[in-house]
Amino acid sequence: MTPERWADLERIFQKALDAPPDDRETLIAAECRGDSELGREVRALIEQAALAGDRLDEVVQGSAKSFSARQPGVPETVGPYRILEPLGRAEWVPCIAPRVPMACTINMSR
Amino acid sequence: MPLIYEELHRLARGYLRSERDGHTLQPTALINEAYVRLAQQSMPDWQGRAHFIGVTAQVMRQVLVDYSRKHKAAKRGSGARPLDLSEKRVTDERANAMIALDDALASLEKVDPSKARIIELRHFGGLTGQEIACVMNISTASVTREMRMAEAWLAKELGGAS
Repeated sequence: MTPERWADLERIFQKALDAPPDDRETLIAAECRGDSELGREVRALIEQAALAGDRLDEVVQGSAKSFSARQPGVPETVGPYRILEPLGRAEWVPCIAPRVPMACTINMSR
Repeated sequence: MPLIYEELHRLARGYLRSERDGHTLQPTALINEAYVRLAQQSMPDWQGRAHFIGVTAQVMRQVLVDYSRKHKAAKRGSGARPLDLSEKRVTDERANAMIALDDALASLEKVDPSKARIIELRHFGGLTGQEIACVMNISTASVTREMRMAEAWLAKELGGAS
């Protein structure tokens, strides 16, 4: 899409969305001046507008859920110790720093 | 460093919040992956929380996209635990949708980078409109208008990807 086309699309989309729903069709027809493809694109965007944010959240959250369900888990606590942060990774094995008086690491493969 | 880890925790918990499932997955694997990637970068001098979230949003996006592409590429003989049919269908659909979103975002970055950045901060970084306005040094009203255009366009591009 050219920058000019994108600018037209956004200008008409924003204008139409600000207008009362009953006036949108007239406005789009007037603004698109016979460019039926542009009109079709604006209408498609308006159709998505209300639920678009939720749709994107759904994609990101769904992906995060799949990731978390399929990865080897690292516990939040080990015995009486709470995991503070990972220190690095050896191959695919995370190393973590527990909250203990002395610095040490736990190799999560054991 | 523990502060960074706590911020990642907040972000990952937001992703994994699920009222419908009735349970919440453990966020530690996602947090650790993002943390290790952040640590591998030459640590910039963080200019406050917003700057950190900006970088983290990019890292989280990359973690999820890499995972989705790897899942799609390794459908056979990956050595991972086999999925049952309904689990497989859901995982495949989520991977396809994430890849479609990443591709659409890459297209948006070419035509309107500012809108792509807003989407990344909102949906991968979990920032509010007001916080995004601060990060990008624009008004909250501008964020609202740019975001509604970007979200509508991306949702249209996603189409049937589910």
